[in-house]
Amino acid sequence: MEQIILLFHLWLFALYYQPADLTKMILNEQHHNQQVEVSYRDTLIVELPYQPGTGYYWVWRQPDGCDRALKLLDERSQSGQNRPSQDRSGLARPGLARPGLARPGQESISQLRFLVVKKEACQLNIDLKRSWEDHVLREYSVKLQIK
Amino acid sequence: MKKLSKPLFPTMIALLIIGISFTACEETDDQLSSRYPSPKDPKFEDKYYDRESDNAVEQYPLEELTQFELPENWQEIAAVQNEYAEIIYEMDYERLIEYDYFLRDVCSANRPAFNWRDAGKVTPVRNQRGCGSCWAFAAMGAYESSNLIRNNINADVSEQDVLNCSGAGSCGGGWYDPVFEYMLTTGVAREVDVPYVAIDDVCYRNTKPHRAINWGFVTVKSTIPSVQQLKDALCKYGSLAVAVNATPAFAGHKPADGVFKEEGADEGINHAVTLVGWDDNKNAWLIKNSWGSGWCDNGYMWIDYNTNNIGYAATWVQAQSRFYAIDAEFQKILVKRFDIINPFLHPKEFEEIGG
Repeated sequence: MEQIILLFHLWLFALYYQPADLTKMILNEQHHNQQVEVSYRDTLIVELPYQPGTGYYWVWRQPDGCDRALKLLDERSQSGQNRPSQDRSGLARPGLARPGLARPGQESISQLRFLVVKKEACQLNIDLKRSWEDHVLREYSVKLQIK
Repeated sequence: MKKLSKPLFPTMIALLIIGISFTACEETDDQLSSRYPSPKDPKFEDKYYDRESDNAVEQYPLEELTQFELPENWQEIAAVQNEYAEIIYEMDYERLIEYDYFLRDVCSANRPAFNWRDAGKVTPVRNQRGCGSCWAFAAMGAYESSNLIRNNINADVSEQDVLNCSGAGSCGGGWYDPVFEYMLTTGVAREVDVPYVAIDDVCYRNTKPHRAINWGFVTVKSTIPSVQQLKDALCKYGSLAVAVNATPAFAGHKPADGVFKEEGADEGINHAVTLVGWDDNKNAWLIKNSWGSGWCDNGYMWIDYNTNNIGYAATWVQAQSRFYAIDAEFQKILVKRFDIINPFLHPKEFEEIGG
């Protein structure tokens, strides 16, 4: 009987317990210049369109007001979907690719993942720029209220 | 309109025919002859070769040579055009053979290293800025390189005109192979006439002097050719337009870090560049990008043979011979007979060739 009660409690715990850093908050272009509430230990994901073929990438502006409140986990991007068939040592082989799904210069989605590590209000600034140039092509900013 | 004195006309034609007869006496390579069918081939009899249908056709299209809007007396002009079409075609045919011999002397796929940049046959690095027009820049990079190799002309061709008019893509991406097809049939404007503004714009009515005579994939579009196939194509045709998977690591690479190579970056393609050479000691290709001269090594990068899908959909193009496209003698004929200056010629170029 005690084992059944223990298993029941474990089941309840598993059902209701959710680690704080598994809560995801996704921001996109619509949140530009908006104020957003996030929770301590949330994972904050910022998804923004960009074109890898231009050399411009979204980068977290440093220093930034959210330096202490956020920790950058990683940056990801969706790449094109053309998977070429190839035989580097001999003749090329056609067939496996799906032409038309990806093309040079096309738009993709950049994803910056942050972990919220401190409770405070701050403004997150992300710039679309080339790493070898000072010029910023576009700016993205969002005011965070971290609870 | 410039006018030439009439007595000069028969003299010029005579000189032209004499010149051709001299060049025609040269022996030609059988292999080259099969690649570039001669108008003298019995198969063609007295007709002209049509590239697209691979057949002999009755008349050579007027637009192929003149590029101007048809005036009212176009039939009269066409009659003269056809009179000299064979001569001009033969001039280009001879030119193609010379071109092949030149390439054989300069470039061999068996060499451990070669690149067209060091050979002086690559135009300066451009900057596409925030528009996804890399496909147009890759195409024009290959074309301009071929133009340097074939005609020794360092031309700046309008990527904006390609963007506006070719239908091959937009600032949201595109492919270079339809650009080359467009260059066969229509041509592309000069940069000075349609400057780059990095936005999608309407197609302007400009003269389009830059034309291709032929293009093709190194293998087929949906493949990465082998290293040997790419080297062969580089030697045979000049710089190539290729696709690559551009990543943040690719964008941020510094020349001090050596040859670029990235693990796990073989998921698709999203960018186009111009492939200009190789170095087996580095196991790498030399590419010319369109991100300005501040990127990587003055706008160039050494990239490993086997990374980021470099070489995908590799495509070559051959610029039309200037000897064929902008023929001073033919221009003079037009001026003399019809009081027309071929708009194919920029006034400055017209002066340069003695028009």
